[in-house]
Amino acid sequence: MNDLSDAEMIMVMGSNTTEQHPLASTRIFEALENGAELYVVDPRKIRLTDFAQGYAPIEPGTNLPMINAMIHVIIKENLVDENFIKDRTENYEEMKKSVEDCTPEWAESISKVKADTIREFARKYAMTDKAMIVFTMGVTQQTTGVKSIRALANLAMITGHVGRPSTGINPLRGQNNVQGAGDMGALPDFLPGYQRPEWPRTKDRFSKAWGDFSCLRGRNIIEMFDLMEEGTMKAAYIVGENPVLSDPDQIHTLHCLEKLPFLVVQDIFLTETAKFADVVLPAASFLEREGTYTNTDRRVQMIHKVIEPVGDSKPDWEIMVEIMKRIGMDVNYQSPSDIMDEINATTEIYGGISHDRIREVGIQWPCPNKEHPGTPILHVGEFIRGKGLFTVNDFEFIGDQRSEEYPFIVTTGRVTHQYHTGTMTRKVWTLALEYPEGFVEIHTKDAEELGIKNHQPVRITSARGSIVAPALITNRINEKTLFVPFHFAESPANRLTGRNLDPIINIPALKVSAVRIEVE
Amino acid sequence: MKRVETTCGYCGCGCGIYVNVADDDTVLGVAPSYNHVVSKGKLCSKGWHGFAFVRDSRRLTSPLIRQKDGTFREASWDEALDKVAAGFKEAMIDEDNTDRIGIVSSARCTNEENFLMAKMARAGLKTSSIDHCARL
Repeated sequence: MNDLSDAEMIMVMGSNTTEQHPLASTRIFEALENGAELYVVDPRKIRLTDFAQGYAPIEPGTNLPMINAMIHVIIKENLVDENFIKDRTENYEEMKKSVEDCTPEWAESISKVKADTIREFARKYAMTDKAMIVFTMGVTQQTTGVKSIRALANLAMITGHVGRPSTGINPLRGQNNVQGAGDMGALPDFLPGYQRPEWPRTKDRFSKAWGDFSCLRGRNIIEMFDLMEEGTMKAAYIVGENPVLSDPDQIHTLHCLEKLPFLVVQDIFLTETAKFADVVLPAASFLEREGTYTNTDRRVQMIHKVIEPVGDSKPDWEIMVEIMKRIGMDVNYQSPSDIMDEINATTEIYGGISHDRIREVGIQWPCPNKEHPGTPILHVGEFIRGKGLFTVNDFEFIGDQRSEEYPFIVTTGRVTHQYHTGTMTRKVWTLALEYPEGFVEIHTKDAEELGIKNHQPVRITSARGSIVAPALITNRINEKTLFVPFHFAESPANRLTGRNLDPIINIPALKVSAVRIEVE
Repeated sequence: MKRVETTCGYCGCGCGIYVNVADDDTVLGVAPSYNHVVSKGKLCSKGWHGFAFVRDSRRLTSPLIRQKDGTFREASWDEALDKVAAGFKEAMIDEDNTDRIGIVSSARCTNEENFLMAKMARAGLKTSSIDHCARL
């Protein structure tokens, strides 16, 4: 994150940084004070656009054509870093061929970003030495999410903007420990440390530590719910998550949970999801336990117990250990530090990270041993796979598009004073005061056409369901585009979203749903 | 009063905070950590204000078990945990239960807890179906 302050050019794509990562945005402002230039790609004129040299009001779900067109321009105008491509990458020619027809004019016809704006973005990015890309779910939650990230990697590699300070493509992670949850193997296709279950050495290593274990590529959260609907899934254990509000197509989610024979939910409040549970286990909050979180910089940091667990609640790890014992596992952890010892032994990237070492300052993984200082920048000198691989990422429309019945696209997001499904922040009165309820942003022109007045309740309907919320009329959003925050249970944005998935990793296209809007 | 240094539990920035606590364990407030590598003495509105939920009267303070009429009743930890284990064992009829048991772990939990969830899923419940909210 410190690298942001030293960047000379920052392209922010699909990240409302000031609202969602306020402290990361302070680094962007530091960079601007140092003379950096800011370029923003977003369907809403987010606050950062007020400070930006360039703004691309993109159509939701069409980042890929714009990125490919930027690559096209950079190649066409010979702004590529030939040495970087020659020394550190492969498959360049094939990628180059794939963007031959991706002219800015073609991209404009899909993304609604003016061809000249795309050229300006491309030239500025290629010609600046320290150019960084920052992105979040605005890029990933689309049916072309993975392709878009790979295209961003192509863009960074043709210009040599990788593996040096203040370069690279930088995802900002939404939740405090979403990085760590993935690192620790809370994923169907990886064991801790991104070790593939099917690798022989993974099997050796974990058999020694864990005994027999299931080493398949399992079902992701979307597939799990589908299996509940089919009746195959017999039991589920949901810890600290609220899929009723956070997962796509709420009516489907509710139906699946009703059908599931046995559900355990562990949380600090009786969430919308916990109401479906057979057993609810009360967890302690993060002020009531010890352990580590890994931030968006891959920095592993301590959390300390501030107060005793409230009521009869227990830290999650203690509850987990009790369940492990009761299903017949031989475990004996006295503290989170004992668990970290096992992480050190099985998970190379965390090999040298002990609680003792990070008591003062966190360490950034990879950190393979106790002497290793940690790794602030990835891919220096060499990529993990050796050569950087250029990929071909052709755009195609999958999922929702505007139609006569559903003439608007609604996109979802957050506001700064609320957090995810609002389980915690809506119970803090000072925060709730700022945004007590949900809303629907609509462009002034569209509101006039439909006779919608400011703060008037409106109904939005998609093929999946409908919600009601007050209208917020603004010029800071594209025409024929709506925005709904997903924090609010009374106007749940995910009743509108569908299960249009990225075919590669099944991320749902939460940012692109076709809807109609009418006065309630 | 005591002052405990910890890491903010909201977004992925990972800011350093000091939490001020009264002798009776009441959370009094938060102060930023001036030499913290990420936040350098700054905090956002959630960082400053976001901790009142801890003592909210709606906190879950006891295990709950669903009764036949659909309502919850309070239960002891032993009873609740036994019921959880029995429910999982009933679902575990196959050698591998990847399609029968689903585990949703949490970006709210610590690394240590997520590691335990991965271990419990794969080595205990014999399911590879474990995920968290990264897609959402």
